[in-house]
Amino acid sequence: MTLAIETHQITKLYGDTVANDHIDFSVIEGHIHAVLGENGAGKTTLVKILFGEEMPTEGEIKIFGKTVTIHNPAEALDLSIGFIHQHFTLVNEFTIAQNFALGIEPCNNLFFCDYDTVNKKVKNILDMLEMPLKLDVPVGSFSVEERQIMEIGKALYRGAQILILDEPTSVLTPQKIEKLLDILRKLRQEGKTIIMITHKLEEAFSIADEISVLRKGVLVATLPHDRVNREQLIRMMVGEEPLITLKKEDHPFGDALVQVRNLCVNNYDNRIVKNVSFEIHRGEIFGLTGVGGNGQAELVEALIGMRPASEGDIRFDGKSVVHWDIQKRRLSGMAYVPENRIERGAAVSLSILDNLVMGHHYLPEFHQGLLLKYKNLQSFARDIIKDFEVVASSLEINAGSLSGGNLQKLIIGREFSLNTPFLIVAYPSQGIDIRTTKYVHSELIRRRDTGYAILLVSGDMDEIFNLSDRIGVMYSGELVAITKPEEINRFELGQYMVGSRRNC
Amino acid sequence: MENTIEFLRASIRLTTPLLMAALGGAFMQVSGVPNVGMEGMMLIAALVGYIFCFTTGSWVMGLFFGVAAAVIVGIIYAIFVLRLKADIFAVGITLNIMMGGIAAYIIRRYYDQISILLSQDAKLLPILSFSFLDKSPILNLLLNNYSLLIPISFLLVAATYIVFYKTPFGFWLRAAGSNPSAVSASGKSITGIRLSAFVISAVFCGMAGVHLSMGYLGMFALSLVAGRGFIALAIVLFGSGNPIIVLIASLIFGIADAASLRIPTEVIPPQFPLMLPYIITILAIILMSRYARSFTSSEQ
Repeated sequence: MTLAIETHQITKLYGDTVANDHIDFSVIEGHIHAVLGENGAGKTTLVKILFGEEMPTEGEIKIFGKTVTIHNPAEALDLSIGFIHQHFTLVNEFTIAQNFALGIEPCNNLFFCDYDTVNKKVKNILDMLEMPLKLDVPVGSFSVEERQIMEIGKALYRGAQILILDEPTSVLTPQKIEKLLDILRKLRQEGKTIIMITHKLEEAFSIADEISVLRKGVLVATLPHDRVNREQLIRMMVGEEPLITLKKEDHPFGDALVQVRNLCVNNYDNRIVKNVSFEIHRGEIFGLTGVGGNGQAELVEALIGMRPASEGDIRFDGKSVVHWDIQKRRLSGMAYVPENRIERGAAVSLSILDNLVMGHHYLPEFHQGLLLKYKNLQSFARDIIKDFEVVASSLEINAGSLSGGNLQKLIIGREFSLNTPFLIVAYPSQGIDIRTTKYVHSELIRRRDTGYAILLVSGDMDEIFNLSDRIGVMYSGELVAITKPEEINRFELGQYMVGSRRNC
Repeated sequence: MENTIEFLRASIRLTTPLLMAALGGAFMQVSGVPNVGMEGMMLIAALVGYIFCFTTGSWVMGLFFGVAAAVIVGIIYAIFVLRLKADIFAVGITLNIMMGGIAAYIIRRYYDQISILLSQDAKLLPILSFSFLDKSPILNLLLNNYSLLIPISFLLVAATYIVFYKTPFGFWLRAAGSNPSAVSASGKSITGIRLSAFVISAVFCGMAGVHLSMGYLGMFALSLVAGRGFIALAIVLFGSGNPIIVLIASLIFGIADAASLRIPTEVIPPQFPLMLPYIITILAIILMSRYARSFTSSEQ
């Protein structure tokens, strides 16, 4: 038994954030190795290091027993490592052969590409993958699953012995996933080593020889597939019971401010949110959780109006808002702290002042006719900075120069000071320090106690358990459970999250 | 008859600077970076080439140093865009303005001229004459005895076509423009590929500039590029970098350019024909804007 990959104490820091913490990871040659973990557990970082897209801060890598330093993807390819990215790396205008051979085109006489030779090899690979595809049409005309398998073919064409697949099934329908897994089994027979990143337990169980679990940058364990059961894996993914719990007074809810009825959301033809119904009352924090990519993001976008609902209804304060645009929804009493601070939450190239007044600028106290009242805006911005403890030297500096925690406080300050009865807060503590997190949590509870309805979307178990009055769990687009934190434990919540249990 | 022939010859002469620059622009365009600095590259090449052709008395030196000057500008452009991640339009336009300033400074400071440089010693690009064309008088009149770079510019259409669609480098260029992550996943450097596109583009624009001063006019004037760099950019965008479409569009503009000099002034005031190339450019841009939108959206 030889090891295809062996890492020794791999550590990767992004600033102060530890993405990988002293990881000893090994993969047996000719096996399929699944890497499981929640979003942000460090799975993608680990494999990017193996493919040379990231350099480890510390640590050592051995490929087939030889210690190597992989500076870039070209060196990884030379070491016969192939990476199948989550996004496609195909040129849509090129044929399969032109894509497979990109960068290593064989030439006949002098310098003209010789695609006849390539096509012969391509045909062999496609036969092996059981994909009889046309060789003379641009790849843009093929379906998503065909292109996914083409990516594998491309890695094989380049002589990959080790294939790394980053969440390969996330774009595929269930039938196509089976087909892909069959192909991977076939490749294992051919002697290839396969690393598959996934957050789907079933896939890991049905295909892997070994399963590794990462949590918060640490490799929790690597176990052979027959020596581990689902319960153990869920426990490893979600961690132990939380130690600190926040003090939260029980109080009766008010009326149902937000009512979601049979909501469906599509991404093109793919139904991402399926028939979801729930309500959020005044004075309640509704915690929505699930493994990333199970429809939470799309559900939130449909609520605030960034994405159209395909079916179903959203009622806010008794009125159907499903056909309203974002501004109308916000003016009627919704505020939104988005998941992605930099892309959606703020305009990072603008000043702190500009960022703080967005959304407030059309309120009557801040403008006179077409002109903004700068004095009022400035004093308003200074109040937010003070109230929400944003550390910034002046109102004129770029929002992009703030640290993640400060930027988050700025966005939360802006949204909370709209004083809307409904707050949507997505992943508020992602990537920020403990102090800020605590601050954000206490703010959320304070608002809840004064009668706000809050939708908290989070993948962090501690956050969900500590803050929520009720918890909703999404799995593959459905709301599979609505429960109370005192009625379940983390393990049961984990079972809901991976779809091995449901209560509604 | 003679008028028609002369008109066609003028069209061909005026097509060359546009065609040459636009082919160069195509190299950058297909690799995903539009060349906004063609105007400046052409101007500096025209000046440096002309200065060398009368100081050294050799057109070879003129051609070489003219092109070299454009390549230096191209490399500076590339450093700003690829390495320092500056905005390609801002840098391109700045370089154009700067080259205008540098050219004006040089002829003022060293030659004491306001806007024109003309020397008796200038050794211009040679006129090529092919004896095999003598047999047919029409072909001889139409196709023979052109300045060196004119036949070359038409040969470069074929060369560019072959490079784009038949050689590995062409596939890398087009892949860099279409899906950069495909290039990096294959282990090639996007920056390296685009840098070579900048250099090739500069060589072509340099030749276009040298043709203007050392072939077409036989002198240097600050206004000799006259927006041709921007018209060439419009041609590139119009043909989305396809050399065949670039050829056709360049011919149309060349003909319009020649026509604008020939429309009798009694019929239309002279200012209007002179506007013709620019009006056609604007029309072309409007026509292709629909295509451009779909191009940017597929980039994202």
